[in-house]
Amino acid sequence: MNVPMKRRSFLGGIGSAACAGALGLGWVAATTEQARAFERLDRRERERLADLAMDMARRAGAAYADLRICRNSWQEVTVRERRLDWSESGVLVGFGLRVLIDGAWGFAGSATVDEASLRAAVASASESAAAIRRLGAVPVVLETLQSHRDDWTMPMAEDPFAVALGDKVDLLTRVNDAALKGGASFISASADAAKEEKFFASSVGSLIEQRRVRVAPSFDVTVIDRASGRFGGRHSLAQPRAAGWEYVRGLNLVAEAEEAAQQAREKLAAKPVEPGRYDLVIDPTNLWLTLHESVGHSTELDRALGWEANYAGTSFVTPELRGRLQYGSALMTVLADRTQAGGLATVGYDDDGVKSDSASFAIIRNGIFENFQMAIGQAHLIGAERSNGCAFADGPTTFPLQRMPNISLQPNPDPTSLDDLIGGVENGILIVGSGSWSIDQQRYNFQFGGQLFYEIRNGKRGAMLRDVAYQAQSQSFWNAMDAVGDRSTWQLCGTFNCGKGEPGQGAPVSHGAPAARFRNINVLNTERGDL
Amino acid sequence: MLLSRDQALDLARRVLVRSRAEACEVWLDGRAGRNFRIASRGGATNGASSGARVVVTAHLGRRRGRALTNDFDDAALADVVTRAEAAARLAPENPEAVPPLGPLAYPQSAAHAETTARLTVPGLADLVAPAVAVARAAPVDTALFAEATEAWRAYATSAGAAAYDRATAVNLTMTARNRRGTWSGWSGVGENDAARIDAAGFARAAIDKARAELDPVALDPGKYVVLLEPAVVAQFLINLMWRFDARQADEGRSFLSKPGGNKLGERLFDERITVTSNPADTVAPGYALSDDGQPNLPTTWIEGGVIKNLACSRFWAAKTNAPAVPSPGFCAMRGGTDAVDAMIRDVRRGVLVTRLWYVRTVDRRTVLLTGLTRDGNFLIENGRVTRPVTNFRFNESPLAVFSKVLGIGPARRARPSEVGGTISAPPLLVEDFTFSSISPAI
Repeated sequence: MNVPMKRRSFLGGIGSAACAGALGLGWVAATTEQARAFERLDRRERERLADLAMDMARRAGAAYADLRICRNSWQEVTVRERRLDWSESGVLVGFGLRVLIDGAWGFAGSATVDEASLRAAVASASESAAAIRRLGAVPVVLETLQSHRDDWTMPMAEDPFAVALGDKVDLLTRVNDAALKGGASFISASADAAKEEKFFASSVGSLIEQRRVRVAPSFDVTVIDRASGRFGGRHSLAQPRAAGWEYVRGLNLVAEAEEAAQQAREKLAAKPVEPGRYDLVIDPTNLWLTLHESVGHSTELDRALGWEANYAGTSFVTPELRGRLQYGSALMTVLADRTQAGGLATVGYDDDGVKSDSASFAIIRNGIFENFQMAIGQAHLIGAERSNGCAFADGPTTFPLQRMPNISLQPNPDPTSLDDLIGGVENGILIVGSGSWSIDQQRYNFQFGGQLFYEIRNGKRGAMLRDVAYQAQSQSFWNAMDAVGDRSTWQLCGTFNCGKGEPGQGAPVSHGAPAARFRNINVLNTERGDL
Repeated sequence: MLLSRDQALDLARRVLVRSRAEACEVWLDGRAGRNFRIASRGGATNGASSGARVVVTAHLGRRRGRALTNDFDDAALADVVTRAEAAARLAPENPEAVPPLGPLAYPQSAAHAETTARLTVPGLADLVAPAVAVARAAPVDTALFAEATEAWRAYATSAGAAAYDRATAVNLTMTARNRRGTWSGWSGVGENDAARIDAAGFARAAIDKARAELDPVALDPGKYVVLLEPAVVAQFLINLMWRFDARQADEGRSFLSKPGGNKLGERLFDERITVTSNPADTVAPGYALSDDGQPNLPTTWIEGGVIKNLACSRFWAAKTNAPAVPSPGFCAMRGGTDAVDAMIRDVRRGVLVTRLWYVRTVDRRTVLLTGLTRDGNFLIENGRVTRPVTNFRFNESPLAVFSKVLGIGPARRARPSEVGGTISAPPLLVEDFTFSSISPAI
């Protein structure tokens, strides 16, 4: 589930804080001393603490244990109407200790990384394992886990945390200027960055150090027609990426902002869509989210097994459908990959300590469903040998869950341009950018909006439309895909914050998609009352 | 990490004495949380964690600098002050900057309960054990989540403000599914005081819905009379209250906008709709200390269907000569006297809705929301609840839901399915609710 709210929205002001749970701190910021304390934890000291934790866990009866010591950093900068609206940087330091005792997981975390806290965590995790065992938790059966000793760092040219605040404010101010020049009534532009530094150790002997960085430039333009009282907007099409600041510099956010404001004005005056059935040509800036919701989440094994039934939901895709389910048309091949350059889920090892090359596999090949995403302790339930490396915990003190690798729809190997896709449509709509999104708890019924909509008539792109949303069932939608664009139409998109689990966790993930064409899809007019 | 009033305000003073800025604000908060989830088909997880932080805002003219730490020794506090002041010197002037608050009186809060504060994971497991026992005895699969939290917050300034507040919460949710996989039910409870939790009753509510003997019937999409349970009403209410912002309304980008101003004082809802917030509310209490340091005074947001108050930042309040009103983070919709059974008796053909899912905004101007029903849709025929109804996607606005009210039942604490929040809401009988398409999800 892609979550639209930013962290600070939970902390104050209007937005989601109103009536939405004032108890939630949600995160703990550390800086300076704790960050320095993390730095003082050189590899030798981390390994010493890990040895200590594994020894204590074994003595507590753990058949398996792992320890993550992490430093998660973030920076957020927002400039709104040429004014620095928000600036924050923070560091979250801590550890998470997981023990498996008599088939039950116990977990405890702390922001203080020292011997005393580890000792307390072992006791607390053991106590928790006993408590849920007493309640009748289904015993966990782990596969044989491999031991890894490695050091993995994501390649990057310019650390976004080393870029001066003034430079970021300057860029975002220019984005504001461009949007206002283009006719925006209001503009808010942000540049967020996140960094993860993780040390992982496990009782099978793994010792893994990893570092990765991601950036998310974005803006929101609002336009108001004072005469009619109508207002509308356009969100940026720029995508988050696992990359340094060089990626942000390479985007032309300033030009996009001016164009976005003009497009928002144009959309305000555009013709309302007539509801009905249309052929859709969907741009990757929209299709990635449909892929995320209707393929990514549907093929998570923990959902299929019913483990997420209370919140995120289950799935229409069940284990017996592997190799049999006609998920989509024969043009549909969807691959998982945690090694993809720029992918937000790209990493050397997952948070179970499983090597990421395990996470390169086909989820759907030529339209047929092949594989689920897995974390440890799940494979034997579907007759598989081992996890395919899809575990992630969003902070040092959160429990690792099965989370998505980068999942991408493969482009057409034969030359097929966007114009080729449009050329095959008599009466249709071109949809660009992500808008509203919603899907049921088993991933059948979805409804997606967008940012920009263009009429297609007799193979030609026409005027802009407004108030468009498309609604379909996942399987029938993907089976209605009759043409896929080639690599020239393909783009890597994604989100910083895919939500899942209880308590909720956010995960970064990328999805690549080409433009693609879908026949005879139900389109709603979102302004009409007869939806 | 949990700090008492004295500990928190002493910590704030240790920050303030180090400030060399023209003015300084200190925000502190912390929490300790315990949780676990357990499903009859596997996947049990649990966690225990705690933390706290100090956020320092340095004021230099109209420049502001903000820095934070969760290390409270002298060196770290000196450092966080230094960093805030350095950030303020680098920041551009903010024309919307406001001075720090001075001493203020805060109302009483009823949001903290010692019974909850004392819960450990084993204690939480003991609290939930009756629910698990009920679930084990029933022919259903269940998935349960339990969470207990204690949190505190404090605010102090160089202008003399010194406030502290604390709160606790226990939340339990359970989804049950019959063994044939043909139907499911859900229940959620949220309380500040764990002593109010009836775990067995909570579990029975989910299980009874899942045990429906008949298979679900698929109805055509269209407009229906719906009986919305309190958790559903709470979710529509949250989506409405997020938008109760004076600035957004005045600037023309809200459903509360109108040429030249906002719709304060206008009637937009059924005259039986009244929404208030009060930190000392016995059912849905909250912090007396708001997120921006102001007191959360008892406030009426909607009265008799009329918009009575909007949240308003201190800057916007000064600019528009309006009162500054913080967003409270909790609220209560007044209940009515219509018994649920009586409301059902009045329905010839309608749908009872237990839970909403994946609710998202489709149109900001009309607050049109889309989402789905799940885990407990039932057909109401000729005054009786008869059988499950296949789930629907809806496209509907809280503006319509709270205007087309046929009946209002007694309010109670409601635990919305998809978002947190301290909400009291009644069941509502509503006409012409728009179900857009069928979802076969169970």
